[in-house]
Amino acid sequence: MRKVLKTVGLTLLAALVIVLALTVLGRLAGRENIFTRSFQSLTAPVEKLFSSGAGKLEELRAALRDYDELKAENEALKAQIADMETEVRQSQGANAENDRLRQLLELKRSHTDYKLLDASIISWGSSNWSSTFDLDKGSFSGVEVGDCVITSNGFVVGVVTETGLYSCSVRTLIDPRAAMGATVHSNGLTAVAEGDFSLLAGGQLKLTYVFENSVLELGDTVLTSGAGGVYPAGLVIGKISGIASDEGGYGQYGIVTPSAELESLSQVFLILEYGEAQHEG
Amino acid sequence: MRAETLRSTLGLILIMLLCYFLQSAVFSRLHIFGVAPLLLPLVAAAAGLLGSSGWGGAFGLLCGILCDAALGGGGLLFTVALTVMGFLCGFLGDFILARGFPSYLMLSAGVLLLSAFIQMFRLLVFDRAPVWLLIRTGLMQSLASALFILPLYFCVRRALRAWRRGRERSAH
Repeated sequence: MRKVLKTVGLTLLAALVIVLALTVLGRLAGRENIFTRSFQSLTAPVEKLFSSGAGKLEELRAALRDYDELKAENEALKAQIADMETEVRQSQGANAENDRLRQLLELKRSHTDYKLLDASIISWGSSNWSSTFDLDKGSFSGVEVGDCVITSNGFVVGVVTETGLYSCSVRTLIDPRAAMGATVHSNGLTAVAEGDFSLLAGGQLKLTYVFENSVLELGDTVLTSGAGGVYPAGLVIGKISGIASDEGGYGQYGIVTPSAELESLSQVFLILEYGEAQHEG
Repeated sequence: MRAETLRSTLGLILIMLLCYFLQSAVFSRLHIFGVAPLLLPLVAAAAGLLGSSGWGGAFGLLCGILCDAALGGGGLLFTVALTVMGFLCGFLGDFILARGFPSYLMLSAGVLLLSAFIQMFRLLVFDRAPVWLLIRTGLMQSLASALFILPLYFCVRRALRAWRRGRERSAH
């Protein structure tokens, strides 16, 4: 062991002496330390790599330091967006309500004799053979069988067929049992608008009892004529969207698409009373 | 009323109300094969076949009232029809048919087709609607309703199990 220590120690001492000698000689000759410079040259790429990694770590640490702050800011922004979305929704709802009330006001102005009552649809009938729905107003609110149901812009929806104390049933204008006196707005032609089972699934109704030589035009507006006493005159039923021939081809009938969008209906108005005067639709 | 009977009654009422809400609130807007299925006649038939003519009649009456309410229009058609159908299903189960799924499948098909015929009768006779269209609607309605035969069979059988066990115990 002593031998090993002696050998290694002497070797190291010799190496140290050589290094020191070379360094001192180099300095005396005005040159840099060749050993450190050589080492630096060898380790430079690795140092660069570590330095770059450290930089990234520093950035990450900075990001982590800011994370809580950014997270809080993000949460605040999300809350702000949610508030703004709610405001937009409320504004849209208010606009829709405003439009509806404006239309209602217009309706009331043009039909001063109408005594209107607003109501909401509770449920739709689930029958495949008829088209009915229930409203949240009944005889307690003055609703009676035979009262006409319209939208806020005066489009015919149907008629009350049954009343409870706080609810009533309405048969829509496309129900196969529904029928009303109608008139074509463009030429004053009188006819009967009635529900038909073959048109029920398509949400349409039939314009029948049209005079033989009468001309039906696609797109013509069909209004209530007031005949029969249930529906006041001048309410919009819909537009003629098709013309077809009767069985046997003896006469023609019109297919009417209702102006009231029954599928998306939620709020309607009941005409509790109306005068006998004729109105413009 | 015995505890088993009460438990079965409450179970059946629960199934009936669930079917009512599905029929009136869900399937009135969400159609299957383009039509709204009828669930309550299936409950009445199951109560009759798997219970007795008494169960069938009583639940036929309740299901009929709810069915008329779900369909709208204020009619009493199903109140009468389902009472009779429920009772008849119970009678057949008591004396003629085995109380198993094949019998229920057969009776359900009959009840659904009969319900469709009852609904189309007025349109067929008074409104002279196209026959092929009425038959197609009736068949589609029955087909859409038939999807619920299997789940309702197991639900009603499960609900009536307590009553049946109580009856067997008292018979022994």
